[in-house]
Amino acid sequence: MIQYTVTVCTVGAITAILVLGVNVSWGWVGQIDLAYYAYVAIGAYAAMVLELPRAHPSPTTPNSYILGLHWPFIPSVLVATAVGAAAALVVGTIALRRLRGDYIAIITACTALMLTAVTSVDNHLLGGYIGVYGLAEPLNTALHLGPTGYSYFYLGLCIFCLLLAYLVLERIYKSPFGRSLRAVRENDTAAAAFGRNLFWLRLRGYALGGAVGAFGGALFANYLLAWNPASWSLTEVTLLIAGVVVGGQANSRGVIIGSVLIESALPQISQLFPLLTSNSTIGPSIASILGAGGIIVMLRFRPGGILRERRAIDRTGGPESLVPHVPAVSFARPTTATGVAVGTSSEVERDA
Amino acid sequence: MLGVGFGLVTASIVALSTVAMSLQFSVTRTINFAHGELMTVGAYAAYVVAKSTSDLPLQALAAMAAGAVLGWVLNVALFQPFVRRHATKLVIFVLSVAASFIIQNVLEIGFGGSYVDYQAGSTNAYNVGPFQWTEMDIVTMVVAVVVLVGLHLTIRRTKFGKAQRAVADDVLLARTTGVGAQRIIALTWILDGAIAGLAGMLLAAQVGSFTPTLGFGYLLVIFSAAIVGGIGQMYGAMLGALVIGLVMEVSAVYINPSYKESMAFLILVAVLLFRPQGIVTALSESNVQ
Repeated sequence: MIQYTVTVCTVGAITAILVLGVNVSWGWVGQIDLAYYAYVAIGAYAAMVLELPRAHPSPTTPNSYILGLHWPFIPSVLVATAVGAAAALVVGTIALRRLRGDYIAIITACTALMLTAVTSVDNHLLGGYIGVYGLAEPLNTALHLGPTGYSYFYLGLCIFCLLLAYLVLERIYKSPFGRSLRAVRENDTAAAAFGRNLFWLRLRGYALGGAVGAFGGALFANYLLAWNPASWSLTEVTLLIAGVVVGGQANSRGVIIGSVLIESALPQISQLFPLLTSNSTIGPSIASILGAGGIIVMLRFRPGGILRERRAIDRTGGPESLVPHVPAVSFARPTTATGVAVGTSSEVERDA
Repeated sequence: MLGVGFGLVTASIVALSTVAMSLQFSVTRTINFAHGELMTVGAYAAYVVAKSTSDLPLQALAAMAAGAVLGWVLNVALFQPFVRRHATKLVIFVLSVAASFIIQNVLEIGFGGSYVDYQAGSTNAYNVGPFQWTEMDIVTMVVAVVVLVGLHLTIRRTKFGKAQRAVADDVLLARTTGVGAQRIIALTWILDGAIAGLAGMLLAAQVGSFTPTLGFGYLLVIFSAAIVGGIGQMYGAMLGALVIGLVMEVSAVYINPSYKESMAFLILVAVLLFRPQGIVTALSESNVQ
């Protein structure tokens, strides 16, 4: 039972990191990014091929993979993060320059599906359908922990990484860059009028999201010790996005709660109904229906999510701030400042 | 040449589905990511009817009815309540994907997640010029042409079509001039569902066996065709479907067929990069910045 809890918590912590990344492209930048799981996969694959020793294809295992540098854990994860950011830069350069809204959703989904096709069909790039596997437990060559001790250690590592990602992202969210991003999201015309380079801002935000995704993916692969095309699909990214919507778009704590609800609690709830678990064929289907139905109900009755994005506050002080007024540089339009961001600011995603 | 023949059949199916989606999009201005499920329910309805009768028109009728009902339900239960609240595109997106999951899983409960076999029409092969088609292939293409011509006449010549175009242009203006916009939108969804359901049945007949993810797997191909043609443009959608269908089937002759859909997506990326308004563009509007 404890071991089970540790597993759920580890996966939950990794999912929380992933959802923080989705929140950057979806919540901060305001783009429907369906290629996100491709960056997770890129991070996972990159960490795997950096850490694994060189592939030796044999008649029994004909599939192989590139690189195989046998690097240690930490540099591999860092390089994997950078690779994810670079991939997001490339895709973002194509997707964000001229397109908006649904078009970005479609082109990013297509990108992800093309990458899936290439990785599954080519047997000598990343191991084809079988994928890459056979990684030794990272850092355990130095630690010499038993299986139980090691699972505790990895859970601690994941929670540490989650905290790190959370703090770094909170800091960026409050930085001038984060504020500019939100300004672009809320009213791109106004932001452009104040001299913001919309494309460059969006692209940097997008790459940041990709980097966080790849970081989470590298941790995930190091936990699973294997990775293959079945590990990532549009379903996964949709679940993450649902976590963001349910938790509260652009609110880091909210999206963590949302992701825990969707990815960890939902499967547990379905365990409570013996009717569902006793019938193994329809149980998962009913759980999915409940989950998707829950998302629809949530969107209908609480469109801002569980924890809404905090309203922007004028911190300049002074007597004039006692009088209600529109700030000279408005980072949020009035509708958003009152907290009903998701449901009302329909202009954000309009087709210009 | 064999590839071109298959391509024309694929293009017919894609064209039906794409035109239905384009019509729904141009009138309602919401992108329906559950569009694939309209096809899937059509395929399952035809599969159920095929158990008791091999009558092809009856199966087609069942497919269209199932699609039409689902289209109507999606509109009334899902899209209308949110559109009325001015939901953002992000919300509509999550909503329609959630709907698509629900429908897929309901079908999985009803029919199981494994492949079901669906045989429709005869598989007698004919040589027509340089092409080789089965009887069902020819039926598919004829049905597609008939439906598309019928749709063209409906939109251009009937009062309903005129009202549709008015709503597509400007809902408020249409409403002030006495067009029942809600009714037109509801009828458009029903029409969209019926045509997509028919396309689903034809697709199922082509592939022979399918699962509840039949339409979802085809969704992005349909989006590609719609965007390549210029989204919301009916005639562009037909052209886009032709391009996508031919590229998919002809490329499968030369390279690994697993890359079939990737080729369609490559065309899409190229079009979005160099001509984001699509091949065919209306003079007055552009949907992409």
